[in-house]
Amino acid sequence: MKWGCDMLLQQIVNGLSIGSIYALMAVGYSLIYSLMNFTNFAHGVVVTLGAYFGFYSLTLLSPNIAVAFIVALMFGGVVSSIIELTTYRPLLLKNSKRSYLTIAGLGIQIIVENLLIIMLGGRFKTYPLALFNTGSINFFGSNIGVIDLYILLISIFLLILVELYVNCTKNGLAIRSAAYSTDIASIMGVDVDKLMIKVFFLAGTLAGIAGYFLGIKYTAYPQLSVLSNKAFISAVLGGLGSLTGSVVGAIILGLLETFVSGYISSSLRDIFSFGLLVLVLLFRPTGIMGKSSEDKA
Amino acid sequence: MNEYIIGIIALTGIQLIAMLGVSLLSGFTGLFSFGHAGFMAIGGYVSALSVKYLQIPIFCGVILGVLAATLIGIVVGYPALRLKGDYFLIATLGFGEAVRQIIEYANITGGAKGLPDVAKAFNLPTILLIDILVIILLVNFLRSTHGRNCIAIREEETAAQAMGIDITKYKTISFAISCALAGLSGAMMAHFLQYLHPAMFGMPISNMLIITVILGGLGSITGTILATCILVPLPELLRIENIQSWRMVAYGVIILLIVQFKPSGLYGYKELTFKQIKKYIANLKMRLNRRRKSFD
Amino acid sequence: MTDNCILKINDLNKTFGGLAAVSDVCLNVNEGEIYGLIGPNGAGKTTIFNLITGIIEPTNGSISFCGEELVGLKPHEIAIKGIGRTFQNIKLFGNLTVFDNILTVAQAGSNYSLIDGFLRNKKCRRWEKELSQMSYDIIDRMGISKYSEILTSNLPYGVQRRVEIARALALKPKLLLLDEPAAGMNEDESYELSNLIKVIRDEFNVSIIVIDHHMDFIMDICNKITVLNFGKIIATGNGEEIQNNTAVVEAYLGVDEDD
Repeated sequence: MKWGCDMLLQQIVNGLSIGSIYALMAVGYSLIYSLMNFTNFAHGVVVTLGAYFGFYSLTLLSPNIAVAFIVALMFGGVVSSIIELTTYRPLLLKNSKRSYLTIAGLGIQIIVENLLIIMLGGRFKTYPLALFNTGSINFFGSNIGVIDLYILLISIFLLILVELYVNCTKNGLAIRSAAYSTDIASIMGVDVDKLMIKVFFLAGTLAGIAGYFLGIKYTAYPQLSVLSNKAFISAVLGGLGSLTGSVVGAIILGLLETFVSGYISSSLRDIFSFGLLVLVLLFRPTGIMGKSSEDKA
Repeated sequence: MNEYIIGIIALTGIQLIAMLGVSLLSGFTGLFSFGHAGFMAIGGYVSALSVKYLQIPIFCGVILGVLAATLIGIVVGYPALRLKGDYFLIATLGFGEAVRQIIEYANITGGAKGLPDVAKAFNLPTILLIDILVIILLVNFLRSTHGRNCIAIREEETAAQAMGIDITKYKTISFAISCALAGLSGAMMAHFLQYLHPAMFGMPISNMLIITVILGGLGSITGTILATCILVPLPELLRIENIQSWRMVAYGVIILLIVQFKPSGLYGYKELTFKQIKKYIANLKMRLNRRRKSFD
Repeated sequence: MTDNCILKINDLNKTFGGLAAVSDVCLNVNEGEIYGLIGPNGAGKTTIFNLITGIIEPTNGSISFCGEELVGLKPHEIAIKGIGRTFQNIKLFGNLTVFDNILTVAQAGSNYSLIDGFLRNKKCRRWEKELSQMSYDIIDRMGISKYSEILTSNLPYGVQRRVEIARALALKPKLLLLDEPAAGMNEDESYELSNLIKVIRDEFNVSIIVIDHHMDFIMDICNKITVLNFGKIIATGNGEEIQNNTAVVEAYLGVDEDD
C-alpha cells in the first residue's frame, strides 16, 4: 500500500463521500431521536427501500439518474411517514414505553427485509453503472472517482438545506422546541402530530437518498439496513440528540473507516467503528458536541 | 427415541439458556440488547478453540467461554449502561456486528467456512439437568433483593433510584448474568453440534432471542420457557422453500401485534408456580369426585 | 423537640439553558418539622426536590443533610442517607403488588450477597423473612393491609398515593419529601391525609417537606412554609404570616400563571 500523497487525497475524498452518506442517515435518525426519544429501527428499512426504488426506477421507469434520485427521495419520505402513522402513532397515543417503539421498528425491519428476500431474491441488484460517470478526474495527481465527488457535493448541499430548514424556518423552530419538550411545544401552539409526520418525511427523504447513493456505490440488497448502524454510531460520536453533531460524527467515522480500510485492512472496518464507539462511551459519552442528557430529562 | 427428535429437544434445551438470560435482561430489567448472539459466539468459539489448542478438558473450556462472554460483556456494556439514552442499544447492536465480523475474518475461527471438529460433549440428560439448574438459580435470584432491584429498574427507573437502588450496578449485574448465560449456551452448542459457523450468531439469531422473550411475555420465566419450546423447534419442523423467510415475516407481524395489542405476550408478568399446579390438580380431583358421586 | 437542623439549603441555583429555574434559594428544615413548599405552577418546587434527591445537579449552591453535603452524590446514595420521596405523577412499580412494592424498598442497609441470593441459603432466607416482616409492619401501620396483594396499577388513585408514601417510609428515612400528596383529592380525603401525615411524623420519627396546592391542607399541617415564585423565595414563615403577606397574595392572584 502506497502512503503517497495521491493515495491520501483519494482516501480523503472516499472517506468524505461515504461519511456524507452516513451523515444523511445520521441526520434523519437524530431528528427523530431528539424529537421522540427513541431509536427508529425502521430507518434502515427506508435506506434499503431507497436503494431498491432507485434501482427499479433506473431499470423499469427511465434511465435518467436524476429521475431515480427524485423517486428514491419521494418514496423514502412517503414510506417513512406511512410507518410513523401506522406503527408509531398508535403506540404514542397509548403512551407506550420507548423501548416498545424501538421493538416495533425492529418488527418492521424484519418484515421488510424478509419480504424483499422472498419477492426479489436475496442476491444483490447491481445498478446499471453504464448510466453513471464511472470515470475519475485527476486532481493533484490522484484519481478521484466522479461518483464519489457527486455524492459528496450533493450530500453537502442537502445537509446545508436541512441545517437552514431547522435553524431558520418556522417549522424548524417548531422542531427544535419540540425536541426540547413536546409538552411545552404543544402548549405553545405547535401541532405536534403534524410536526411528527413532517419530521419523519424529512428523515425518510434523506434516508431514501442515502439508499440511492449506497445502491450506486455498493448495489442494492435486502440487508442494506445494517448500514444504518453507522448512522447510530455517528450520532453517538457526535452526541446523541445533536443534529450538527451527527453530521460531524458521520464525517469523522467515514474518514477514519476509510483510512483503516485502506491502510490497515478492510475486514477490520466494522470492528474499528465499534471500537471507536466503545472508546467514546468510555471517555466522552456526550460525544463531540453532545448536550448533557440532563437537558432532555 | 428418534435421534432427530432428541437433537431438536437438546437444541431447544441449549437455546433455552440464552433465552433465559435475555429474559432476565429484557423481561425483568427492561434493557434490550440487540446483538446478544455475539456473546453466544464468544462462549462458543472461546470454548471450542481453547479445548482444541490449549488441550484443556471441555468442562474448563466451557467455563472459559462463560468467563470470556461475561467479562467482555461488562467491558462493553458498563460504559453504556451508566448513561441515560439509547447508548446501550447502539452499543449492543454494534457489538453483535463486530463479533460476527471478527469470527468471519479471523483465521483461527475458520472464518466464513466455519469451525469443524469441535470436541464432543453434552447429551440430552446433561442438557436438561443444566437447564433445571439455571432455572432454579435464576428464580432464586429474582426472588432475592437483587432480583427485585432489577425488576424495580424495569418498572420505574427514577423511582428505583430514589428508593436507594444503584441502577447502574444492577443493570450491569443483570447484563453480566445474561452474557454469562449466552456464553454458556454458545459453548454448549459448540460441543453438542461439534461445529461452529458465523451464521449461527448473526443478527437473525439476536432478533430471535428478543422475539422469543417478547412472545413468551416480559417478566415471566414460564413465558420464556413456553415460547422457546414453541419457536426453537419450529424451523426444524418446517422445511419448505422460502418458508424460513416467511417465518421471519410472521414473527415480525407477531411482534407488531403484540406490541400494539398485548404487550404482556403469552404469559407476561405471571409465573406458573407449583402452588398453582397443585391447586389445579386438587381442583381436578374434586371435580372428578363430584362427577363420580353424581353417577351413583 | 430539639431544634436540630437536618436540612440546610444555601444559595441554591439551577439554570436550564438560559432559564433560571431556581435562584438563590435558602431553606432550613428542623428535625420533626412539617415544612411546606408552595407557589404557582412552574415556580421551581419539584426542581428543588430533584436537586435535593440528586436527580439533577445544581449550577451552584449547597445542600447539607445532617451535616453532610449532598451535592455531587448519586440519587441512590442520597436515598440511603435517609431521604425518601414521592412523585408528582405517581411512580409506583405498577406490575407489582403493594407488598412487593414495599418489600423491594425495605432494605436494612446491605443485607446478603449475590451468591447468597443465588443459593437461597439460610442467611438469605433469614433476611427475606425479616424484610417481609418489616414490610407487613409498614403496611399495617399505614392502614393499607387489605390492598397488600393487589397490583398497584389496579388501585384507586388515593390509595396509590398512600402506598407511595408507605414505600418511601420503607427506606426508614429521616426526611420525607412529598410532592403533591393531596393532588386529586376532595376535602374529606385531604383531611384524612393531613391526619395521616401528622401521625407519620410522630410514629415514624421523620421530618417532612410537602409540596401542594391545597391551601387548607398546607395550613393545617405545616409548621413553616416557604413560598416560591419564578424560582425565587418570596416569603418564609408560619401559616399566619404567609396568609397575610401581600407578595404571596399577589403571586397567587395577581400575576399570570405561566408554565
